[in-house]
Amino acid sequence: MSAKNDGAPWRVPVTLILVGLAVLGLALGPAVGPAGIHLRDVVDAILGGLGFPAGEVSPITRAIVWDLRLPGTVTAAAVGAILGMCGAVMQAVTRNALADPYLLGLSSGATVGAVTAFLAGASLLMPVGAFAGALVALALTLTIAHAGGRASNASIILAGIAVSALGAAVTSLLIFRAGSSNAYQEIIGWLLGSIQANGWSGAGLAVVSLLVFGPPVLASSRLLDGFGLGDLTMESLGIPAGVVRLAFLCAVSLLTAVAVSLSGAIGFIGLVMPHIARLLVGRGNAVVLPYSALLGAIFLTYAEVGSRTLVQPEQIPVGVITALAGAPVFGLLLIRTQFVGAR
Amino acid sequence: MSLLSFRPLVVGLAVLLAAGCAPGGSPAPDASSPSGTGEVVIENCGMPVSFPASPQRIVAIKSTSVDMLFALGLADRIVATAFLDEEVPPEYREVLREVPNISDNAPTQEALLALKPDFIYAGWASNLSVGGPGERAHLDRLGIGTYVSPVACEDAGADSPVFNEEIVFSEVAELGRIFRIDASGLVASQREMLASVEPVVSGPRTLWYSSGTATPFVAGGTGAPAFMMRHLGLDNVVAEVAKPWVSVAWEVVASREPELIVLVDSVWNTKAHKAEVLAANPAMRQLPAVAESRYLSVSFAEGAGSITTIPALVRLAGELTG
Repeated sequence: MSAKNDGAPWRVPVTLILVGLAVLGLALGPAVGPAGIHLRDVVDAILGGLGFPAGEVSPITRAIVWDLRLPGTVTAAAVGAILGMCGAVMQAVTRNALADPYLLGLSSGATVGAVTAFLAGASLLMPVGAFAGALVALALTLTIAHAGGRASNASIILAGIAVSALGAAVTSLLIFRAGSSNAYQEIIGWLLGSIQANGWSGAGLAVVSLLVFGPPVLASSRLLDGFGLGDLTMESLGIPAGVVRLAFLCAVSLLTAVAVSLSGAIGFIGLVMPHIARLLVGRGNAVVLPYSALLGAIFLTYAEVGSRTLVQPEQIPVGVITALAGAPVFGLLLIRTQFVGAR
Repeated sequence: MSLLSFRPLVVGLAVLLAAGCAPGGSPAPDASSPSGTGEVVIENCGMPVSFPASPQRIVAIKSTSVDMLFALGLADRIVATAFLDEEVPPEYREVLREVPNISDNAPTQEALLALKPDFIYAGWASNLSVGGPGERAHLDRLGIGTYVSPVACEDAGADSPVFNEEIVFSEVAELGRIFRIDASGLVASQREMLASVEPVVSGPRTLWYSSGTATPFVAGGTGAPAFMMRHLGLDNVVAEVAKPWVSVAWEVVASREPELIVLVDSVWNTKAHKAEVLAANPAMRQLPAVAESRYLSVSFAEGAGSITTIPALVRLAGELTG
């Protein structure tokens, strides 16, 4: 079982570094930003927000730190963790290294929902529309995949592609019909991924979803390992592979629907983080799942800080940063895999 | 298909050349008097467009074009409107009663050609493209003159010139030449109006909010809104960005504590909805300007740098001092 332990020697130092980076990112999020708030005021605003005795800060400063920056950072960390973990699960259950959390058409379904809400004049309801759209896409994909009875791995992936294409076409039609520059501005921001400025309600939803769905998924890592053996082997061991896969797909899709409703369709995290995790800590899902989550959280936390601070005072959609950073990393990983494979 | 089938075309071209109507064969346009019959050639958004005669059948795309045609007294030549940003004002209704609004978007070429226009007046460069009415060069070959408001030329991006009233006045003058009318009176009255606008002393910090929930899209330092804020004496909180419009972080907008917010009102995104977004934002709702609804409102066309921009300045100045 050498393949399973190839990252093991590095596990302790890697863990220490990652936890350090995560803590630093969580501190950086509320501390830096284009509003240029003094660090002491940041600390006072957070202490005050937590209900501790703290120095006086202006209501605006307090609102920026406590109601914009901190929930934005927490949302980014939770969404990043969700996407990283869900990507790892998707890659395991489909035995496909290119799978990501949006595999079942979720991002394009969510976009249709968000765009519909926006065009109906309810941009505040875009997250709700996105969640509903993601669920519709999920239902549609699973219906198509199971239409002929038992859904094979390939039929699920292909159904997902079909639903994605349909969603993209509907979105294009809606945008084309709308034609206004305002609509483009808002919808492109959504397509590229932007953390919604909805304060603690969004952050709370992300954290609670992660805490409810995360532990059971992490605890089922051995079941996920089973998919690597093939459905037939699993069934010979008494595990109903099709049913288990469906359960995982539904759980992961619900989580992803929450994520996409809070931040739009942020790409590359779900695809890339599991690969980086395998590189750093080895192949078993017992380690790949939590480390993918940790890496996703770190990555999106820093990307969110970058979106606010790289081109001040302008804001870059966070998804642009994750793609800019994620795509080259993915390319390097592929090159490395080819070299390893050639050895 | 034989070569013969092209003969009528060749003959037609020869006749055109003989008549001196081919591009380059025209007399100097500046020599033609407003009422003259000479061909007028205009360079519009980097493209030469020629007008052999004063256009009679106009399709006006976007509200800014309709407003301009009314201001110039040419509204009776409008055969159709399209892609309007606001309800047609009551004073236009009598003239536009029989005029169809053919599309909520840029109209397709077929719908457009069916109206047999000889002039398309577009508020945005993107209104004239394949998939919509068609490319300008193509429309030109069909004998349809096109004109795009200079403020909205496609390349007017990040390094666009700082907006000022002369951009609108040059549009008025060019339209005067195209239609062979004397437009100097309109320019003179707008100059007078602009001169009458008194900036408020030490005006409030002002945010010009266009749209956006996750990220606000606001006026920067170079567009028509920046021009309007300067003339009103308002202190634009995002003045340092050298762009007409910019996406900034909410914390930037909030930390600059605007005391007054200008909301852009359009049919596809109303001011009431924008006020809701501001009231729902956890930082913005802390601002007294939001809590007390200290809002001014402009129409989309007024804020776009159009013939209604200066009249809107007069109105806003009245609201600020009144």
